Amino acid sequence: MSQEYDLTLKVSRYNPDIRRSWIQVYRLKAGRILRFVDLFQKINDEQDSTLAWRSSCEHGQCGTCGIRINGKPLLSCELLVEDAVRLFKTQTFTVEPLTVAPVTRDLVIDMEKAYEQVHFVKPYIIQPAPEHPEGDEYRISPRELEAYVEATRCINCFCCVAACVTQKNYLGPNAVLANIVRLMDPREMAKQERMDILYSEQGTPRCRTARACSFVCPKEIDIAHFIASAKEGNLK
Amino acid sequence: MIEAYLIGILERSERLSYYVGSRGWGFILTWAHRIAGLILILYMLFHVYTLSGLYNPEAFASKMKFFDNFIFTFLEWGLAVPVIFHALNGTRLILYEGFHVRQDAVMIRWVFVLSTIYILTLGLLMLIGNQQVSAGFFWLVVAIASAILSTIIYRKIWHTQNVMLWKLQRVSGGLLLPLVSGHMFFMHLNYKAGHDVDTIMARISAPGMKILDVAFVSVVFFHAGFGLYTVVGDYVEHRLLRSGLTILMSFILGVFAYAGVKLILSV
Repeated sequence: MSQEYDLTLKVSRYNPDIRRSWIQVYRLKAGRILRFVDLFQKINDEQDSTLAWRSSCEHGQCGTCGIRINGKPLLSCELLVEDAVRLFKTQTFTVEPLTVAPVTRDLVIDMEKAYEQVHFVKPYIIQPAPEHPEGDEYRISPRELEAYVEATRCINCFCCVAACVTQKNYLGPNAVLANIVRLMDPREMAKQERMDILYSEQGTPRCRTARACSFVCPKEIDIAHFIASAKEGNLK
Repeated sequence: MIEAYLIGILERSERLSYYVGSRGWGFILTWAHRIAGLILILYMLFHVYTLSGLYNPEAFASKMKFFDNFIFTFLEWGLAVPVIFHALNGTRLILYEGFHVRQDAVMIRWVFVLSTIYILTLGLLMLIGNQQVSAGFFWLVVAIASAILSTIIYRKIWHTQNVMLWKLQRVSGGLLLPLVSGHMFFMHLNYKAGHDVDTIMARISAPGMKILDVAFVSVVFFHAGFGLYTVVGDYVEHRLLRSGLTILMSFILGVFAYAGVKLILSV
């Protein structure tokens, strides 16, 4: 079925050279299985080559194209036009950048700034467990992995951070999750350092269990469950 | 069917449906929890101020006459909304964060159902207005329920590495659920319980009640203070300003808590 939609996109624009923000309205026809990144490309090709937006893999794996459509943080490479029309019950959409870092231009935010909190929690194994005596690779049992493998799917798209109730003095759901993943990883020996970060003033005490992070996560990770498990002292 | 009807009404609010659609019901409930908490803190300060009139029972009696009309009675009933919602939603959060109850959608429904039952029952009691119960027995049951609930929460969360005040907030929440909901119920079992000076004086003069009331006031002010502290911490980035606001809030709540305890011990 080649149904076409008459769409209206109200896009937040920002020009850093003159420090001016405005809303620009684009009207376009689009097929039902076009994604929002395709719409931006279409605008670039047919109407306005100055509209700036971010994307990279365009397959929901890199977390680059996070934006807000009608207020909801999501990946623009994953949202089909027909799904958006059904979800928001409209063909008019407000398109805004995520609120997690300063806007550098239009829909593009300063990802370096956004990543500061993730870097703070050291999203790598700080102190690796000793190597296997026979020089073999370190093995994680399926049972151990099952407890946290869902959390390893995080792509740091920052949708959860944008949706979170707590916008200040908080590491953010994705950074807390990154810390939890390493804490649950049996190869990590620096458990106490991770605990100190997790339960610090900017860690789990700032989580209000609104579960907006789980609600918006494009990878369908139940982030709130992991953070609540940390509060329960149940990260096994 | 009732649920679908209620959701239909709520969806008519553009603002509400924006946040429900983009953040989920949990987000709305978090905000409602905060707003309810702030209303309760303001009421608590007003309540202590009003009760300070008990130092002069005659003046207090005339003050109560001022409140003896339909509008204030309706507002008193309306106060049950933030009270029971805050209490039950707090319970939901404790269950989610401490007891691994992850069926949050079910719990949200229970919060609404139980809140509605409580509010309607309280309204009915206020309309009947002549129920009698032994104060000693009623408060003994409430105190035991509070002790059991807070002990269960304490045993479940105290060993965790969460910060001490965070844990105390949950334990105090467990204490307050029966105490606050019981307090509202008791005050409206009959008209005199909450409005007649002699009845009020007789109740709070009893030694057992003094101990319970002092504990009640202390716990409720701690809970309010830490709640405010967390809200301020969620919004104020500037460390000095945050510290200043914390000191100011602690001072105000401390003064009112002292006034409340002093009143209980001296009448």
